[in-house]
Amino acid sequence: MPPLRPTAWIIIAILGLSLSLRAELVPREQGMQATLQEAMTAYERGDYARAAEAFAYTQATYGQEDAYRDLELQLLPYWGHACRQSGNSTQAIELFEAYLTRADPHAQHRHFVTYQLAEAYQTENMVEQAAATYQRYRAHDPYRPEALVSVLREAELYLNSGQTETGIQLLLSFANSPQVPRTLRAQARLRAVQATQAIGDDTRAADILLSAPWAIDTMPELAVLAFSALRAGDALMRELRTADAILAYRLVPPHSQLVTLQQARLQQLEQIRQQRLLPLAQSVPAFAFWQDYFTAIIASVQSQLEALRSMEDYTPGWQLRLGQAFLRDARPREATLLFRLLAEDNTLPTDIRTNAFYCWAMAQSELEQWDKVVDIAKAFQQIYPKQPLLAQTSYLAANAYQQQEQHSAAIEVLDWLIQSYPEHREQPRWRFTRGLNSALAQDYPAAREAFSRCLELYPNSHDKLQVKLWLGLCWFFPREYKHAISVLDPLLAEAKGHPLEAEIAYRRAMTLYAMAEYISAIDALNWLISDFPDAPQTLPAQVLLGDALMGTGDYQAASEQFSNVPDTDPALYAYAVFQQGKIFRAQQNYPAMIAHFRSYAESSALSPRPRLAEALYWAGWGLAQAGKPEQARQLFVETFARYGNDPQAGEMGELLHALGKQDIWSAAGTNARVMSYETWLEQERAAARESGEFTRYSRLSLASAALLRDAGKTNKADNILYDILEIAPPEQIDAKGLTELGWLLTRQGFSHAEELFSQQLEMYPKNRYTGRSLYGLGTLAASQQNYTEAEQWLARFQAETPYQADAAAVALLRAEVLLQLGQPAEAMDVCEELLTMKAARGRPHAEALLLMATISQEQGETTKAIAYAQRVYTLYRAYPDLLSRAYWQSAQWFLKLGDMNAAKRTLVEMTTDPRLDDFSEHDEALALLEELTQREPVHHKIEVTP
Amino acid sequence: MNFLRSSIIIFVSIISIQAQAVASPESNLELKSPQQLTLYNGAPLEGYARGRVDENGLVFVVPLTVGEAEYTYDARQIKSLRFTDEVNIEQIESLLSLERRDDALALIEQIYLPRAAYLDLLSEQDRKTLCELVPLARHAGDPYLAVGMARRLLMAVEGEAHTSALRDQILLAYLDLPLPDETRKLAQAWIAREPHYGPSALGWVVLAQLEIEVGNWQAALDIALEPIVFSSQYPMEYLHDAYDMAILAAETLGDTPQAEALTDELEARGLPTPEDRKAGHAHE
Repeated sequence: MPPLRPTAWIIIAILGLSLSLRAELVPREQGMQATLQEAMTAYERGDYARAAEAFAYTQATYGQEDAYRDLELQLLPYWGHACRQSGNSTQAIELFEAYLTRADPHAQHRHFVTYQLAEAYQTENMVEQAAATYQRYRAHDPYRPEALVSVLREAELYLNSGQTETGIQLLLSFANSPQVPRTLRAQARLRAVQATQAIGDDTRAADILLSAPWAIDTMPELAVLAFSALRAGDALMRELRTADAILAYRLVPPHSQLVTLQQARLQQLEQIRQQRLLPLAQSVPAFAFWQDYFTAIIASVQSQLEALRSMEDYTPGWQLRLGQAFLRDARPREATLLFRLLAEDNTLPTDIRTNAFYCWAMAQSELEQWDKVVDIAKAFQQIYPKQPLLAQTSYLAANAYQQQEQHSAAIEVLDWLIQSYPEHREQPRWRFTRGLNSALAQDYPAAREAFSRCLELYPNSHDKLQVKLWLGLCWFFPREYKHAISVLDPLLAEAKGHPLEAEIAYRRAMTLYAMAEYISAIDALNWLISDFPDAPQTLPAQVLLGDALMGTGDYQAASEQFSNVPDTDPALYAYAVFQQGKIFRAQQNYPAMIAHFRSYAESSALSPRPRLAEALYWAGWGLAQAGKPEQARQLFVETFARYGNDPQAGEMGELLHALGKQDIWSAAGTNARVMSYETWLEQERAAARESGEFTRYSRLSLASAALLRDAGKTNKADNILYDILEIAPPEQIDAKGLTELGWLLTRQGFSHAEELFSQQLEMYPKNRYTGRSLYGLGTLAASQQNYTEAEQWLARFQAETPYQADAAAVALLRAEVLLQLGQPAEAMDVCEELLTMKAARGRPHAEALLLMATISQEQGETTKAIAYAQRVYTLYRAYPDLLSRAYWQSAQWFLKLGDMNAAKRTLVEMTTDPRLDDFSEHDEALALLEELTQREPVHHKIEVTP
Repeated sequence: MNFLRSSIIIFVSIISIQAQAVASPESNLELKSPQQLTLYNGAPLEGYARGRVDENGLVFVVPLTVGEAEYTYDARQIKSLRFTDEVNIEQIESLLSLERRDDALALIEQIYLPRAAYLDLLSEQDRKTLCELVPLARHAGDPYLAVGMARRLLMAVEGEAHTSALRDQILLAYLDLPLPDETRKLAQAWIAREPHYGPSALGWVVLAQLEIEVGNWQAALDIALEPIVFSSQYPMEYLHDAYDMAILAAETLGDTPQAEALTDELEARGLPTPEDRKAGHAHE
């Protein structure tokens, strides 16, 4: 109820009544004064209905009296106000209009009545009249507080009458006016946001919301702001304006904080109302105006506060959405903090927590914190083993394992997913990923099976072309090119217009190249290059085209093709340059080769060229071949001075080796040597050690050790290598050094060689010593009887560096390891493959055959075992140690089969070859032969002659 | 509790006063300006506080025409003790802005030390004014003094806002000293005490600063992001420092997108950028 005193004082003054009459209800029968007193007293007390009725009674009863006529004009504002307040806006309009018609233009209550009239019009939905009246109200002093508030009322009029755009425009214009106090501006802008959201234009609402800071220290409707901001944030998220969504969500405080803030703001409003109304005690219009204003706004805030208190806490849902906004805005760190908070809060509802777990795992995936992803998925599974989002979270865990190259763990998770959620829509993806992990683990048969099963079950899945591509690749990687091409050929036709078309075309061309189908490969590559000029595969295709042309022997065309490769990809460009150089070398065109590599090394390209040192080495090598040893030496020495201490510089070992050639050190045109290589080496070594250039030092030491080893001083050579290990930090040793030192330790049986190999793989992953390090790691693991790990390293060698010089040795070791792992069929496959390797002809083939003999024997196929051994002593007589083993084993197996004659023949053949006398089997063979000879000759039915 | 006699007039001998009073070091300082002592049951007295006796006693000396009278009051009898010398905070700030730290420090000590023994007897307003000296002592280069002042004032002031501000100053002073291990413990205690979306980010900022100082940029980034994530549009002290540290850490870690996102957000939220605060202090 509004305070009454100011009104009463004014009326008393108007009526000239005695003070004794005020604030007392008296019977109407006592006359006009008494009736008016009743009206005024009721008005003072806020009993507007009674006041209005009393005013009407007075007018009806005394309307013709002069006393009343004298007063009537002054009474109209109060009577009209009482009518409006008591819900009779129609009569209020009549009274206010009458007052404005009759009153003096400068009458005291004119502004009050104008505003009240506008309000009454608004109540009666007389929009045009109300708007015009508000505008008239503001006309004489538009920036006085009451006038400013009237703008909000007018805007409300438009919003409620369907003229929404007019209302919003009025609010925005008001909110942007610097002459309006910031609290009112904020109120206007907030109302504009609400109105815009109400008509569904959330984008515009969000833009208005974020257009300026909010006056949060004074604006009344904090809850409205919070909920508008929540809605705006959601809308911005839908539009993927994630940074703006974050800003919108940041306008929201937690529920408990908002309740506290809104409560404090309510108290603040009450205080402001008191402060505002106190000085207005003598001004009825102003008092009534602000009374109405504050009553309305406090009621609104009060109701918002009550709603806020009774509603469910929105905080977790809001935090979840904010976290998702961070995640989509590529800010996973911030997202992690929110999701972790929610996931770990066991007071929260299941849907919030499960979502939080899933999103948390996603955020950690973005951060590549793979261990944490797995931990989150495990925690999720432990708490909510049956929640649907567990599937997606577990898939993230499988991906985490994949990223960590823990493919068997990834496969385990994927198998569990495939079996646990048979109807899940992600089945095709899981099955594809399962196959992918098998492929990455180089288990190509399993990968192919997974891909085939995926295609069989989901022939129309969205990713079917990708699945087929990988199926083809899983034939390509194990070099089953015919199978690969049988998949890729139809796939390319099927992929017409698909984003994967260029990739498939490139892989098909690679397969043709690998099959030595160079003409077909050239056609395929030319088509790819012309039809997909902007595809990422086009550049590698141009390089591969050069290789394919080389394959046909058309070096001229190949050289031109390599020279056409642009330098946009430094690594591919360098490859093309070195391939072209290789052609010059093959053609013994040393001047061209020197110029070519010098041009590459001296290029003024902004970005540093890769393999610079290597290029200079080849330029020097060309000089040496061209009979210019002095220039070659100078270039080598300069190159080593420049790059010798750079661990990433390639060919430094070869450069030192080239410097080791005697003629390099001859004085120009003479046989005299300017210095010996050994002297230069020692001087440089000492200087490098002195200056702490450990990369340079280790390279020179390796070269020095090689010299000593060549001279038969193995121990001294080893000492030099140990010296490197002692003083040079591993990170300053180049790939060659790490590998050689690793092998030094491996040969001595030291397990810490593993650190050096691992360092090499980590620091120089694409280096040509990678294969040697993988072999070293496999050897170490095998020597420690850790056959599973050994198999992983050796399989990786065969997949990544199959043509490396150690390929034959690796194949043999791998076959033995597979045998230890109880996989004789796989071991046999490896040996078979080794027998197809031209580079492994000779001793490796013989060793493979012996191994195959052993495998066959262990599988009970003795006849087959004898056949393999016989191939050794038939075809590989150059290797007496192997011959000795082959004979001895054959003889024993013949005996086992009961073919004593064959056994005797074999032993005779063995013991009559003097080269085999010194081998361990010899004495046993002689003893057995003697024993067999002493036996009575028996004709066995079985005669085994494979 | 030892209730002291009320208004017992003892004597005029300075020597006898000194013998009775258990005075703190500060109370031995010469008080140039007189103090006004207002008792609950009487008119104000003008004289000089000369120390404390037992736990709650105040020795107050009133000059007489000849000699002086020494009174000992129980603290509960005292309405307020007012020092009449001027406390000019602006003057100290002005000296600091001119880099005249020693002069500023001298002025702080001149104000604080005579009052130090009587903090419980001062009006709440006077104590709040003294609280304003604490950060100034830090800026004047004496974090030890700042810690001492803050700890004593903590026992005397009322109200969460003031106690919280004093605790913050202690934390900052420890950081200034520097005592990293103790600072870390204080910062962790601060973090454990303060809620998310609270009015200050100081604990996180100090902890992040410690990580930065030992080159642990990843931890610094993670810590600095906490108040950034758990803040709304409502004011949070030191939030811009958290942004600064997070941006620096992200840049150092080579995470340019993260640094850029934070920089954009700092501006979009209307928080002061480092450029805006060029003339300001890092932790004020």
